[in-house]
Amino acid sequence: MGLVIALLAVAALAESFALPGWVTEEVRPQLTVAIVIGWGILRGWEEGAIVGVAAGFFAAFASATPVGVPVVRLAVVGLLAGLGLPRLAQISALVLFVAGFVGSLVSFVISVLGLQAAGWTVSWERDLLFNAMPSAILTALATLVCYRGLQIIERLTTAQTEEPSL
Amino acid sequence: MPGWVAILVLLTAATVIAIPVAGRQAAAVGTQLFAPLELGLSQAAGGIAHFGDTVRHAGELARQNDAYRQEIDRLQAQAVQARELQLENADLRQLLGLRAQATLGTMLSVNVIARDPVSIVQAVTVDRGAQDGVTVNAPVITWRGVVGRVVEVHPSSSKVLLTTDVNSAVSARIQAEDSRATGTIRGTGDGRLIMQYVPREDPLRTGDLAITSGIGGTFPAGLVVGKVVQVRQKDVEVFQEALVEPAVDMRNLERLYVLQRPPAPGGASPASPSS
Repeated sequence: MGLVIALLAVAALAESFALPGWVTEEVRPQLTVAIVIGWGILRGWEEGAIVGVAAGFFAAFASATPVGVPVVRLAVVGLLAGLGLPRLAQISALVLFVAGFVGSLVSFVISVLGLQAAGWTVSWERDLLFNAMPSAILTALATLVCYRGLQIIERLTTAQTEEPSL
Repeated sequence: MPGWVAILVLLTAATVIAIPVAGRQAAAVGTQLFAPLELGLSQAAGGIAHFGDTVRHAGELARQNDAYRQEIDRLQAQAVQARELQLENADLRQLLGLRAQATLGTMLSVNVIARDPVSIVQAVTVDRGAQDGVTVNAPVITWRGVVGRVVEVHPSSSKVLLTTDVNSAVSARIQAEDSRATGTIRGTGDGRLIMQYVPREDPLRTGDLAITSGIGGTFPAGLVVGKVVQVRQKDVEVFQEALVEPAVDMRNLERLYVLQRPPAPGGASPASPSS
């Protein structure tokens, strides 16, 4: 799991990366959401929630929002992904795409509710249509890629832990 | 992994969230660790982008260079005239016994190193913080106009809420020959601004320039906020409102200036998110 947490730190940095000309561009893939969903599916709700909390703190480091908002949204996404999806008979590309899309929208809804609870004004109607939906599609595509990568990491880490001690 | 470990982690996170001071301290430590990485990444990307731009626009840059040389000559002549007028103004003020108008204060040059990962929040991180004298609520500008204000300060970095965010509010005035209409400019969340609470009887036209009024004390008077692009009036309402195009292109923020000495307080401060 340490490797995944390091990966999440890199993903959070990439999300907050201020490329000239793209500083306030709002449509973007949420790499942290994609990784948290992927790990939740692979390892269950416990590790899904833990990596969600870690990802939330990394996101909070670069954000002007209250610390709790990104932590709660990513922990809930990891928890839900770990609770529901491992029970499916087969994790197909379609399932991953839908999981990424829905996970991104759940993350948006929790952000809106969290910010409103913290006293912020949020114009969510326009954001939902023009930012959250296109971002969810990009996140769903990112989930497909991240899941394959996370499978390799999981195989490597499982093989290491299953090696008999001399 | 046993379930109780996950529950323990979730409870710890909940405690950090529930106690705002603990949450802010945890985030401050993380921000300190992240800031150098963000700075390195942004400098590397900026360097690559600038190199690409230079190669692509070499011919255009040469033409621009000539134009800029001519502009410098013209501005130097104007600067000499302005200096003369400034001296004359100071003399006349002394004669009239008026207090000198508050100046902008020291301008600290800062670079944008990160943007807010939460897409519904329009904020950026800059590479200077408390160690350089940056304070919360300090105005942030470019030579074109107002960018936003500092909402969070860490030792070596700060977070700036842009005027285009819906949680920003700037007290503004119209700069026109026949109008000094005042109102409040707020972000709309889609990269534009809206000027509200302008009395119906005050003249307000498309193309008018909106500048800071200085009311509220956060922003000094006379900074450009944007240009009116649409005026909305309803028969039944006491106030009219205007859609304002920001003077600063928020997508291309790179080098900004933090005004280190805030102007003298003179009223209520702009709305701030209760974070």
